[in-house]
Amino acid sequence: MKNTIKILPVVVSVFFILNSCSDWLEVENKNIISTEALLSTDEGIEAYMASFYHFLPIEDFMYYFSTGEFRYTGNIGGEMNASVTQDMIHSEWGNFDSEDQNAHAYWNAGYEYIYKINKLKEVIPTMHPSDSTMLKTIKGEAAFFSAYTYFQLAKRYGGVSLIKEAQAFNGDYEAVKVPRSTEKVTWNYVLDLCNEAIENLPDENGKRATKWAALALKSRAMLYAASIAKFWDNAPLVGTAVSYQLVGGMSAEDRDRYYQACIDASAQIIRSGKFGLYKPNPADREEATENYRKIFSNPQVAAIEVIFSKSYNYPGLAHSMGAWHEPNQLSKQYGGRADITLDMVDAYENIDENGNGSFNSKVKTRQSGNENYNGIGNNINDFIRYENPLDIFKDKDPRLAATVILPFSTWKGTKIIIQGGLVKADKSYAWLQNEKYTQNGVDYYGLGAANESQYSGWVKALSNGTITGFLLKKFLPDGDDQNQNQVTTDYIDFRYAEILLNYAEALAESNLTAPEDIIDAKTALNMSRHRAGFTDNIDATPDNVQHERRIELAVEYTRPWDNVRRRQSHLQFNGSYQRSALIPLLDLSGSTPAYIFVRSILNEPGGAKIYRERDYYRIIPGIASNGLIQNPGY
Amino acid sequence: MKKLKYFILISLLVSMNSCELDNFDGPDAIIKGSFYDNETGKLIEQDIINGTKIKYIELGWTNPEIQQMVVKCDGSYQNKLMFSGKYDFYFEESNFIPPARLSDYSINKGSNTLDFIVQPYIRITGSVIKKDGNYIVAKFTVAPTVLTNVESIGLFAHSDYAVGNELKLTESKIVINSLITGSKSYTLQIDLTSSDATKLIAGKTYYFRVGARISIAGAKYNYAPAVQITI
Repeated sequence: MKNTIKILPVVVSVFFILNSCSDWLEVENKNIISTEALLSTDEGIEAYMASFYHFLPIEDFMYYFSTGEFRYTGNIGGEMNASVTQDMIHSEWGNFDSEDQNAHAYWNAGYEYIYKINKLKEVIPTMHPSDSTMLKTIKGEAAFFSAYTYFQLAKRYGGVSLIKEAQAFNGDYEAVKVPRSTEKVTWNYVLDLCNEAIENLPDENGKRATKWAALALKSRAMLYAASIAKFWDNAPLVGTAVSYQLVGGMSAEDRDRYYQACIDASAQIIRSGKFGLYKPNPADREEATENYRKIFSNPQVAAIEVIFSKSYNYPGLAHSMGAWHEPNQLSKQYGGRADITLDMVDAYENIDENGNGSFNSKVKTRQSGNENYNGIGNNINDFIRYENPLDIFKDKDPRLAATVILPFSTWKGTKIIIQGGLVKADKSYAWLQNEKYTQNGVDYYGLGAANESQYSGWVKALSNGTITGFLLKKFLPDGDDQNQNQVTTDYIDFRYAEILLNYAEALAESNLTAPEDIIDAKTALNMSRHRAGFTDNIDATPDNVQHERRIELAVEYTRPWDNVRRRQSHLQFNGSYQRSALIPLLDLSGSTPAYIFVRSILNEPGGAKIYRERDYYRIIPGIASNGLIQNPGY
Repeated sequence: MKKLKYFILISLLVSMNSCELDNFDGPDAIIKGSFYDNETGKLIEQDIINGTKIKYIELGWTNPEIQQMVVKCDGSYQNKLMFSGKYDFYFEESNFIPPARLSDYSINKGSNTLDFIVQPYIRITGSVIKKDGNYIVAKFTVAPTVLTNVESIGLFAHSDYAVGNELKLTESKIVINSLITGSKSYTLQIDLTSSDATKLIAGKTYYFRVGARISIAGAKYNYAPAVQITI
C-alpha cells in the first residue's frame, strides 16, 4: 500500500507525458469562439466587421484634436475641431493644434488599425457567408478602411510607410521596418484604395460603407492631395524629409491629376441622382433656417443629403455633444463652451427681400459706419441703438440663425440672455460685470438678470457663459442632450453639400472642364445658397467657393483641414491676430431702453496663437527605434 | 515587527545603492559667436523665437541626435553646456545663405569662439521709425542679395525688445511676392486708432522693428535694429 502511494504519482506523470503528444486531450474551449467558427456564420462575420467600423478614424463629436484620440470618452471639455479656426473659440481653454506635439497624433493608433485591416484581408478567403457576394463587399470595405486610414495619416504626416499586408514578427526588428514612401506615392496609394473600394462596394449597404461613401472619400481625399500640390509653396519647408520628397515634391501634373480624380468622383455621385440637398426650395427665410438646422439636429430626417454617417447608442458608444454646449440658462452642469466668433458672424452674407446676397456683410454697430475699432472708447454716442436686439442680424443669411444661438433669441422655449453690460442715463457704463442699476424704480443688471442662472453670457461659474456673444446651435438636438457620453445624435461624415462644393472647388482651382452631362461649377456652388434662401448666383471663383464652404460647412470637423490643405492656417494665426466678440449692452440713456453692440477683441486664453509652418506635418513618434526620417523642423 | 525591520533594511540597501554617480562627465565646454554680414561686417539681426537655428551633431556616436541652438536678436549666440569633441554644424532655417556644412569641427574644453560670416538674404538700410500723430511711421530700404522674390515686409510692435514677426502685439505687413532688383524704399504705418492697435496702450513704451523675408523655403525675416517709442 505504501509503495502504491509512492508509485502512483510517477505512474500518473508518465501516463500524461506519454500522452501529451497526441491530440485526444485537445478539447475545444467552449468559452472562446474560434476564428473559423466566427467566420463561417453571417452573424459572426457581421460582429467581426462591426469592430472595424468602431475603429474607423472618423473625426466626429468624439474626436479630441489635442491628443489626436478618436472615440474619446474622457473629459473633452467641449473642444471641437472648429475651436482652432477663426470661426469659434472655446470659452475657457486655450488649446490649439500648433506648437503642441500631441495634437492630431495618430501614428501609433493608425498603424495598429492598419495591422487589423491587413489581418482582415488575410482571412477573407476563409469566410463562408451565406451569400457569396458578401465577400466582394467585405473586400471593398477593407479597401475603404485602408483608404480612410491612409488619408488620415497622409493629412498629418505627408508620405508614410505603406504596409500592405500583415507583418509577421519573428524577433528581427530590421525585417519589419518599412521606410516612408514619398508624399506623392502615398496619395497615389490612397487613390488606388479608393478605386478598389468603389469597384467592390455595393450601391446599398445599410449604415455600412457603400460605393457612394467610397466616392465621397475619394472626392475629399483627392481635393486634399491636389491642394497640397498647389499650395505647398505657400509654406515651404526644408530638411531631409523634403529632399527625399517625403513631404511636398508634387508637380503641376500631379495637382491636375488629383483635381481630376476629385471631379470624377464628385461627378459620379451627382450623376447618380441618388442624393440631393435636404429641402432645396424653401418658401421663406424662416423655413430655410429650420430646414438647415434639422440636418444637424436630427440627420436621419435629412437622409437624402447623407452619404455616410456614424450612429451612436446608449448604453454603448455615445457622445457628449450637448453636454458642453447648451446655454448656461438651460445647462444642467456645463455649457457655453463653443463660442462662435464675431469674425464668423460677419462673414455670413447679407440677403435682401428678393433673395440677393451681398458680401458687404459686417454687422452694423456704429452710425458713422466705422467698423474697425475695439471697445467703446470715447465713441459712446456713435453706436446704433437697436430697440429689438435681433434686428442687427435681420438681414443675415438664414443659415446664421440655424448655426448660432444669437443674443436674445429663443432656444428650446427660453429667451437666451446674452448681455455684456449697460449704459446708464449719464452715458457711463458697466462693462462685463453684473452691476445693478435702478432707473424709474426698475432694477436693471449689467449681465441681464440678478441671478447668474438666468443669463448665458460672461458667466463666472464653470466658464459656462459665452465670451463672444454667440453660442453654438448647429449639431445640438432637440430635447435633452446633457448627459455626458449619453448623447446619440448621428454624426454626418459625408454629405451631399460637401461633394457639390468639392466639385466646385476642384473646377475653380484648376483649368479642368466640367463633364458635359452634369451641372457646372457655378450651379454646384449656388445650390447650397439657394437652399438657404438666396435666389441670385455668385460666380465660381476660388474666393467665392471658399466663402461658401466657410458658411455651408460652418464649424464642421473638416474646417481646420481646409485651412491646412490650402496652407493658410499660418496666415490666419500669425501671432498678432486674436478672435473677436460682439458685446450687447442695454442702453438706458435714451427715452426708451434699447441695445447697442460693441466690437471687442478677445483676450485669448494662452495668448494670441501662432500656427507654425512645420505643423502642416506632424511629428513622427519613435524615430530612434523605427529609423524613419523625421518631418521638417522637429 | 521582524518583517518591518527586514523591509526597512532592504529599502535602505536599495536606496543607498541607487545614488551612485554615473560614469559620464558633465558638459565641459562653452561655445559662442556671432553672425556677421560678409559685406558690411555688421551683426545680422534675428528672431529669437523660431528664427535662425544652428543645427549640430556630435560625432563619434552611433545614431547621434540632431541638436539645435537659437540665436539672440542681435545676431550672437552662446551655449554654455557643450561637451568637448568633434561636431558637424549646418543650417536649414536661417535669414542668410546657409554656409557649407562645417564638418569635423573641434570644440575644446573651456571657451570656444565660432563666428559665421555669411550673406544675409536681405539688407535693410536707412530705417527710420517715428511717431507721427496717431500713426507709427517706418521708412526703410529693402535690398535683397539674391535674385529671388521678396515674400513680405512688415513693421512689428511689442513691449519686448525681441519684437519681430514672431513676437508682436500688432503689425503692419505687406505681401510683396515679387522680385526687387537693386533696392526699393518702403513706408509702413500702424494706425494707433485701428482695432488691432488698441492693444498698444497710450503713454507706454514699445519696441518697433521693420523686417523683410525672402521667398525661400526655411528663410526667416531679416531686420533692422529695434527702436523704442513711447506712444
